[in-house]
Amino acid sequence: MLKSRTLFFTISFFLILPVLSFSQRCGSYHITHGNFSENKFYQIHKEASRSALFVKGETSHMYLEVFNGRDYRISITHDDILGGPIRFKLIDQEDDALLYDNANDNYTQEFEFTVTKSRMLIIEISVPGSSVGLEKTSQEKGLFKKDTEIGCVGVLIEHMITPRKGF
Amino acid sequence: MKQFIVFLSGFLILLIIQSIGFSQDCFEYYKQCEEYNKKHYKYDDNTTGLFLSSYKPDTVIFEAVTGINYKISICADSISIPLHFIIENEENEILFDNSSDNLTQVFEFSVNNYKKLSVIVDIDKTCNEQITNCSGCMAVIIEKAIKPRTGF
Repeated sequence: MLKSRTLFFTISFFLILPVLSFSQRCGSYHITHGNFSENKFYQIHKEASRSALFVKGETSHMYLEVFNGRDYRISITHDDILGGPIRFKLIDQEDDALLYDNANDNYTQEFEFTVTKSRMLIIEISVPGSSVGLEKTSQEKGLFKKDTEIGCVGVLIEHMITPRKGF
Repeated sequence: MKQFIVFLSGFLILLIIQSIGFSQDCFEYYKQCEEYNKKHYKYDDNTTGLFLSSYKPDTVIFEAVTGINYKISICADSISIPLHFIIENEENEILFDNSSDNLTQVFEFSVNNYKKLSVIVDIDKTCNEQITNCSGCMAVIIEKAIKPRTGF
């Protein structure tokens, strides 16, 4: 009984291992390649920061809950294979209002802001270019050449209590 | 008459042994092609070695499913020219032809629905045996890997 249980766990471990290794390909990219602030008061927002694999032309969303009385800094890093600067937008989840678009700010890869009202934000990340894999829905019969231009994007979020100004 | 039947039987047996010998010599040829096996990929069970000559094309059939990246590699170091191959579906529609991709010997792809695919490999019939090797062992290596998830 004990032997079969050990065998079961061993087999399960080896079955799960390749899946884990794929998902961890970009796991802590935002830390290892992160563009950290020089302001020592900023702390990494570990729960909100994340990394993922992207292909050229892909758009994806993540959520960030921001609180009144805090400053936030969002910085994006990416693998060179993905090409040009990453576009990112901050959207208010409640009313879909566009609060920030780095396309209007020379595609800067970092942005700092102060929050005066707590809310849930959607961070929309778009990688420039196009990919054969993303066009697959329009071709039912064919084979889809593997995307070779695939790389990591890291979104590092830092936060701190908004410093008091004046006397 | 009896002598003729014995002769014929002997001849047939020799022919069969020779063909078995050829196919078995080539069957495990793919093991010599390990440089094709890259990280993350695993051999599909249909990976095989074949004896290929310019007289007839050979076919390897396998099943492709969604969520997996496939890699087809043609390994034929003993044949001096790059091999032509096509990938067909069950309706004999050509889905990929390496002649439209500089006779590439490696093709990586995925599918968006289940497909039974045939890889058909042949040697250019104009290949001149006196100038170059137009026949020999080759391997159709089919590798697969879980397609990585992209985006958040």
